[in-house]
Amino acid sequence: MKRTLVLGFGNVYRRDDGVAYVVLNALRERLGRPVLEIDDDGFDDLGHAVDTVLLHQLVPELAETAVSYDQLVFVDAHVSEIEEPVRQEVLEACFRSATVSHQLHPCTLLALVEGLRGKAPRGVLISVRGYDFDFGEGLSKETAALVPEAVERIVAMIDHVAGKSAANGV
Amino acid sequence: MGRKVTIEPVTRIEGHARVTIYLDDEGDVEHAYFNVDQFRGFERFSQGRMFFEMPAITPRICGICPVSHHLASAKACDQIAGVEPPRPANLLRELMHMGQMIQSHSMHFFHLASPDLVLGFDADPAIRNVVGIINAAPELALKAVKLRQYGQEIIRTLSGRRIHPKFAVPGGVNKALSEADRDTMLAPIDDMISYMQEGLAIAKGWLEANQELVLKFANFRSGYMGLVDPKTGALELYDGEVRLVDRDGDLLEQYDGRNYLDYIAEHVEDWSYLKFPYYKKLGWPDGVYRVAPLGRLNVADCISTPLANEEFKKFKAISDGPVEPSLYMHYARLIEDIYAAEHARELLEDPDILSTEIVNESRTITGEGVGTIEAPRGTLFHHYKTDENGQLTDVNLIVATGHNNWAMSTAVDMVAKEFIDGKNMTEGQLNRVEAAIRAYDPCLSCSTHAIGQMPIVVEVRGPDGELVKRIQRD
Repeated sequence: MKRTLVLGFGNVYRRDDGVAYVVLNALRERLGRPVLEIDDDGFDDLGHAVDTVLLHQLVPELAETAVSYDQLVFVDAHVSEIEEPVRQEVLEACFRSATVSHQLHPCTLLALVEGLRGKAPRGVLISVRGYDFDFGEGLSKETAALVPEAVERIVAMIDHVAGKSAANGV
Repeated sequence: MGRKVTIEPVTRIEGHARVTIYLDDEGDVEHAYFNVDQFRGFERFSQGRMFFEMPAITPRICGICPVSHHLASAKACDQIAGVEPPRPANLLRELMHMGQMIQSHSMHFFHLASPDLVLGFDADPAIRNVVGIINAAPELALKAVKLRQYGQEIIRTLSGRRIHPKFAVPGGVNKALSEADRDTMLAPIDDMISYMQEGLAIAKGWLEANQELVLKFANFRSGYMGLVDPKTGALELYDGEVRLVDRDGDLLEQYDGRNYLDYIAEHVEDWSYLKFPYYKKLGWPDGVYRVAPLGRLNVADCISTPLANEEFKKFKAISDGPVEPSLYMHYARLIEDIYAAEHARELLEDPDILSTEIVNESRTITGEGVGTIEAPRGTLFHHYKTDENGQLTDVNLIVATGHNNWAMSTAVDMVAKEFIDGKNMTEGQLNRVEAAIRAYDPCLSCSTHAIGQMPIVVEVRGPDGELVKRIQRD
């Protein structure tokens, strides 16, 4: 069976930057899984056809986890420079420079997986417009309203790779 | 009118940091600035919360060194709760800290620094990266992943979480270590040390082969600061006293971190949100100092573990006084990496580490606490004040990168003046400026990271301010 790993990342204490946490839990409910607590990364619940992990930011060693999946779906917030409220972007495995920061771009993670196993998994980024990135918990009303669409997009991605039954209770 | 060049590694919403290089009419660098645009609002965000929440909240400051914030916070909370953790709890906390050091130092060297060293400053940026390392030296890259993974596994084993630990609590920790988990962590240490030694050999070989470059690359004098064992003067990462030495390496101060405000003040420049800490008694700018691996090894008298101490002796033999070139930061970082692995073994072999006496109860609120720790990037202070119920009224964090703000600004200015030719500017020249910052391994942008920001942009503007050249690297 082809497997999908959904990787949500963002800071849940910077309002809409934490949208992935809400999206992942909505997806988990859809999959019939218990929701993740705010400080639970989800790594103890791997091994399904569809897995979810929640991170503050992407890190290189994720490549070792990601190497066993056919598809990686990244979920993050985006800012107003991107027009679509919910953006879906198929990613290529390629290095994106971080220069001096420790941030890892999803494309770089795909490239790392490609380096480890010789072939990159399919990569898709679902990013949701954020309106409020101030310090604080909870989403703005505008971003919260975009969560259902983001979940539908992810479900479609899962179905695309694994067949329609996958997102209906794996 | 001169020209302006901007390097903007802007990957987060507020901008965070950029390098601005001003060229004069002859195309020479007049001055270069390392600007930090982000106001860190975490202190204000924390006010009003209960103090015991902070060890769980503060790891969200940083996705790369959350353990350092977690433990500095817990140490501050110990003091607010008026309680000393039992010895086994301190051993476990320190072990987690060694895991943090291993993953962070290893990641920095192999992920950020080694592409310059292995592939060259002037290599095509398309391959001068961690993926280029995988292609050029796949075995080295695999070892790098294993090293970081090992450090992360220590953190995960102790806390049950890979990224944001919930382990240290006021008065101790919340989970004892099993014998099986101890043995699992002990087993790979020799391999890990051998990987670190390989990295160290690469760094040393490169430094020796490139002495001319190293000596003119951000080589400057400063004071140094770091924790040491108060009895032996040995390198300390988790506890101990803060030692400050002057530009000649002579002792200025050795103090309890709780009294940091007696020794450290912060200077403000209108072009950066990041403050510039300095030694109060010497004033600004005479009191500037450096922290992080170079700072720590320059203040320490020895290292308490054998393999790291042998390397430490060789490091110290480089200079009669402090080792000053910024690129030696890589060398010092890998010595600390070896120390962290050796010390992790010492901690794991201590019989007390399996004890279930891991927390002491508290029945008081003292109202104030300062947690001091050596984060991978340098000395970290967490200072909290509370009301009589333990609700936070004041929070002050001096993060490691802040201590090195002056040093990074100085390094950028020196490297830009030495290597940038405004009339014939190359990507490799600009990469050297970035490498000057990389040497200090700053953590500037860990509070948020929405997708969709500017890539790295370099703009060259002519005498009238018009855009002459724009380089964009995705």
